[in-house]
Amino acid sequence: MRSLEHNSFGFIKNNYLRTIGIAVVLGIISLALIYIDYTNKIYATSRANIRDVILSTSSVIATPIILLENGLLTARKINGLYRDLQEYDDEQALISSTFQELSTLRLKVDKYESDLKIIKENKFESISVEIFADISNRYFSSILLKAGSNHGLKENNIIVSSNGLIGRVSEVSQDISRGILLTDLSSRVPVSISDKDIQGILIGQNLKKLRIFYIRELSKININDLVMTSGKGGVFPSGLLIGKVSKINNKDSFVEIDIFEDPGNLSKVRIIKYELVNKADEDAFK
Amino acid sequence: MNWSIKLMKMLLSNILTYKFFREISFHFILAFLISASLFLEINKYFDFLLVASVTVYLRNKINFPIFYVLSLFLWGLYADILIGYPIGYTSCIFLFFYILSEFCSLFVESRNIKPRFYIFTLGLLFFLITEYLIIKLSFKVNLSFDIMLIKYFLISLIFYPMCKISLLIEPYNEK
Repeated sequence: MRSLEHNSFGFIKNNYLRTIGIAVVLGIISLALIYIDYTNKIYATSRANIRDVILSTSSVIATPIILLENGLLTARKINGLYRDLQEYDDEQALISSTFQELSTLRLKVDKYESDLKIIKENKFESISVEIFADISNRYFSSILLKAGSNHGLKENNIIVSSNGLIGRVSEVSQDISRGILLTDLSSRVPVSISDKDIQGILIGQNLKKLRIFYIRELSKININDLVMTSGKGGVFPSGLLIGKVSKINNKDSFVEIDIFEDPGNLSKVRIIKYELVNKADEDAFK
Repeated sequence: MNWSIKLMKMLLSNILTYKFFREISFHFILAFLISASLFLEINKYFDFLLVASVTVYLRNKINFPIFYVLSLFLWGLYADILIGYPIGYTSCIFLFFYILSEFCSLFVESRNIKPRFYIFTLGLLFFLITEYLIIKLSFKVNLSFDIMLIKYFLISLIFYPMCKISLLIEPYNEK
């Protein structure tokens, strides 16, 4: 309890009220700041640049705990190393034959495309990038990547792993970028379900399971149907694998899916610098 | 004249030796918790920002109140830029728990842990429900209530040990 013994009541009251008043005003300013327009380019760039500076400070402050966690992770990795080596040996023979099969198929597809005079829709260029930190939290799922505009990264570049789509790049500074994961609450991806090409919108729930809403033909969907990007909207190319259907909720008209890749298990990802071939198409999407 | 110089010297040495050091330590703990929340995977289940908020709530004796409030606001901005939250979000949490702590100090003695705990849990519940409703209305997403409850109980669970530590560090009778 606040003691009145050593101060006059007036002093405490004024000082107390003044501090509380400042706290309330700052609270209102904070609430107002939450609703700032995030799409503003200058705002996004300056935020990314400031983050670069404070990120280095934070990594120094958190060094002891980072070292501790890295040590534990390394011990766990060493534990599983022998088993992985055995699995690797078994897979080697399989990969070799699969690679040959893929090369043959690629050649066939190229030939058919040239015979049918199909215009190539997209061009892909990709780089491998290390994950700097997984900053997923209570309601937001995102990662920091050790690459930025200096490495040719741009906003909305696509983040994938060997198993499928993970998310997209949302903020880019010179050497660090932030990627929003599919599980983030603000993530929206147009998807196509099963070979029947049923369309929907994948919405992040900040849970391992994602949900697809706005589906017109829910009755045609089956459990274990594959889910991939539809290419609508122009941000993601079509045909990128995401996961498979695990539950169909007819009452609330949504489908729940298991994603193929858990970003928490990854240390590196691939960034696809997706661009539409025709500039006119790109402008049309804007 | 002589006594004023003595007083100045005493104040200065007090600030530099003890109060100043304590202030710096508190801010270092906040910085550490914010930074840890960025790098640790455990953060998905155990929210370090809420742990930082408990630290803010448990602060008994504030030496420079206006500076303290401003610094909480700035630490909030620091956390938001670092973690990627909308700017102002963490400042709101910190300032909410600061105001709650000040409100609590009007009625409850700092050594009296139980009433402080009840006020804190009520405040935390109010905060989590408000946040849940905002997320539901802004993003139109129904979050898992179980996960929210687990977080609520985990934070409530660490309140007692943190309160004990805080009472050990911060002298209760200091004038």
